[in-house]
Parts: sequence; structure tokens; C-alpha cells
Amino acid sequence: MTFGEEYLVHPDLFPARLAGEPWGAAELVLDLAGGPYAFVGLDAPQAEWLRARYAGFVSTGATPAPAVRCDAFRISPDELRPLDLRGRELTFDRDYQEDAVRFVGVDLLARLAFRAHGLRAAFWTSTQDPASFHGALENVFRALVAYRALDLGGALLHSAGIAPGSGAECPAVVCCGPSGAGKSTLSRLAARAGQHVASDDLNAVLPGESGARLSPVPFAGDFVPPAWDPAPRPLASICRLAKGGEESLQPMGRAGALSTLVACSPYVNTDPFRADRLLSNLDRLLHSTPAYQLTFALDGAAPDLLARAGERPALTAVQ
Amino acid sequence: MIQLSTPLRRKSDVRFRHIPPETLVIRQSGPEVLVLNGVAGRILELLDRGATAGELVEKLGGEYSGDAGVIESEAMAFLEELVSAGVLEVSGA
Repeated sequence: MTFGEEYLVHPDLFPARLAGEPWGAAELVLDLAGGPYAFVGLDAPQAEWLRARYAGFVSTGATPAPAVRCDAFRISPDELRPLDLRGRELTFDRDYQEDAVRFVGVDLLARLAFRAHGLRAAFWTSTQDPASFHGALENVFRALVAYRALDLGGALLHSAGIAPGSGAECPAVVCCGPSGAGKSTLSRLAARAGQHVASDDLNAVLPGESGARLSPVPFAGDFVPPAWDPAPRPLASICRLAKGGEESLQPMGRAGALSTLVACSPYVNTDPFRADRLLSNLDRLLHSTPAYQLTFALDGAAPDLLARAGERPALTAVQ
Repeated sequence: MIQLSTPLRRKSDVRFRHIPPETLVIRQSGPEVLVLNGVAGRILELLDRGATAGELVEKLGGEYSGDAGVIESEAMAFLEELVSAGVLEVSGA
């Protein structure tokens, strides 16, 4: 099956340019992880709904020019193949090119364009209803943050981001693992112990002058924080999560740590044109940030392990 | 079953990086990430220039000490494993 054939009536007519019919004239600027990110072409109810959804990250007042611009366009439902969604896992067809990425799924087409002056994007959906529209937008937004983080020398990691201590500058721990590894469970245990959870699903890690920092993103899995805190924090360590009866925090070797990070770098880890960049970013990250395997039990002392993992990083290479 | 004359190549979705003493191999179509030994990395390097299984075995024999027969049988078994794991494929197959 060729790209888009499953979803589109005319897959060969997939938009070749970032152009189309906008939903309206409203826009939303969000300041997070390598932003600002500007979403333009929204109608007023969509913009209002998204402002409420991304509260805490919305830019107010004078903001610098957006680092990433994404246009929202409408597409006729007639262009989309009717699909029976019962029991269906929602995935995307992806097509990687040297200067672009395009993907298509249920009621969503998107194109990301890598240009000399930065990342530009557009998406097309037939859904005007703000809640459903948000679903389409967030699928694109996550990919945009992943590529923007890559561009800045970092990565978006499938992980739980937890700051075990108190205070805005308390270092954070990023706990990586695929679905089922325990990210949401660990996040709940941490929150119950009074620790700060940035996200139980995705966290951006970006290089900074004094080491890597966790840059929060408003993307949650099963555990939605009571409020989003957009402030970046120093990164103390990276952990690979495992569930087990015997709790421990064990240093990881570099190859094992790097393999974990690559596996937990969504969107970009399947992109053949940007795989080397991803490997370099993650390898560099591991030179300044210790990596551990964190094995925890439901009824154990996971918050204590997180507190140990969250001690300020030694500025030495990991073993 | 590969033979010494079998031409091999790295699969197009495979990326790798040396993290001595190991080699990180990414199969992007999965995606799947494997941590293999350094010999796997050397094989992937040699295959970037194109080689048959026999040429690979000969090169490896020149770089690692040991009984030539043992090196050949172990190298061929390892190449089979890499083909099974989707890291290598037979050229032109």
C-alpha cells in the first residue's frame, strides 16, 4: 500500500505546499521547548479552547518571532476515505524526505518543512469541533517539538519527567520507557509523595550553558498534572524504568543508555535523514548526564529512588 | 542459509554507531534498537563497501587472532544471526 492510500481518496494529491484554506484568522502562540510555536489559521472557538488546554504555556504580551509556525487548514471530508475505527489502533503513514516529513492518519494530513530559516508546518483536517480539532493539532504539535528539540541539539523523550525535590530550580529526573514500562505509575507514586511531575508521557531535554535541562511540554499520558509548570529545570539524570520486586538504582553503560534514549525518541527515531543527528545529540547528552536503571515496585520506595537519582549531576562522563 | 559466495549488505533502514566496546544498531522500520558487540560494528563498516560473506570472513580473520576454521564458522554463524535479526540482507535477493 502506498503512502496515504489507506486514508485518502486521492493520495497523489497530498498537498505539496504549506497552503490551503484556513479555519479562521485567530492564532495561538505557545512558549515552550525551543519555541515560541505559532499556530495560525484557527477559528475563534478553536483558539479559545486551545488557550484553555495549554494554559501556562500561552504567550502573552510581546513575544519574539515564532521559532516554529504551523498553519491549520480545512479539508473536505470527501477527500478522506471512510474508515471503521472500531478496535483500530490509530497510527500514521509517514514519508520522510531530506527537507520535509509528511504524515497522514485518520482525518489528518500534515507536512513539516525544514527550511533555512527554521521549521515550518501545516496540517489539514476536516474537523472544526474544537475538542476533535485539538486531537489533530496535538498530533502535529508533538512531532514539531520533537524536530525542534532535535534541531537545538536535544530530544523529545517518551518519559516521565519528575523533580523529586522542592523549589523551581530543583533538578529533574527523566525516566524513559515504552508504554507499559511504568511511567504513569511512577508519576502517581511521585505525586503522592509530594514530588513535582512535569509529564508522565513526553519531556523535552535541551542543552543549556550549564548542562542539559528538562523543558516541560503539555503532553500527558494517563496522569495529567493538576497544573502545568512551563519552567525548565536542570537535568540531574536519565533513568531506564523497570518494574521489579527488588528496587534499585544502578548505573548504566553508555551503549545501553543510548539504546534506551533512541528507542524513546518518538517521530525522529524512524527518520532516516535525521537519525545520525539524533544519535549525536543523545550521545552528547550522556556525556554530561548520568544514566541509571531504576527498578521500582508498586509498594516500595520509588520516591526515595527518584530523590537519589535527582541529586545534582556530577560533571563527569558516565561510565 | 548463506554461503561464502553470498553477497551481503546492510539493510537500508539500519543505522549504527560504535560505542566501544559495543555497537548500537537501530532498525528504523521497527523501530528497534540493538546493542551488539564490536564485531558487528566492524562487519557493518566492511559491508558499507560491499562484500560477500567469504570476503568478510577473510577480513575478520586478518583482524582477530585464532584458528582460521573456528573464526570462519563463528563468523558465518554470526552473519546468519545478523540476517535473521534484519540487520543484513542478501544483495540482489
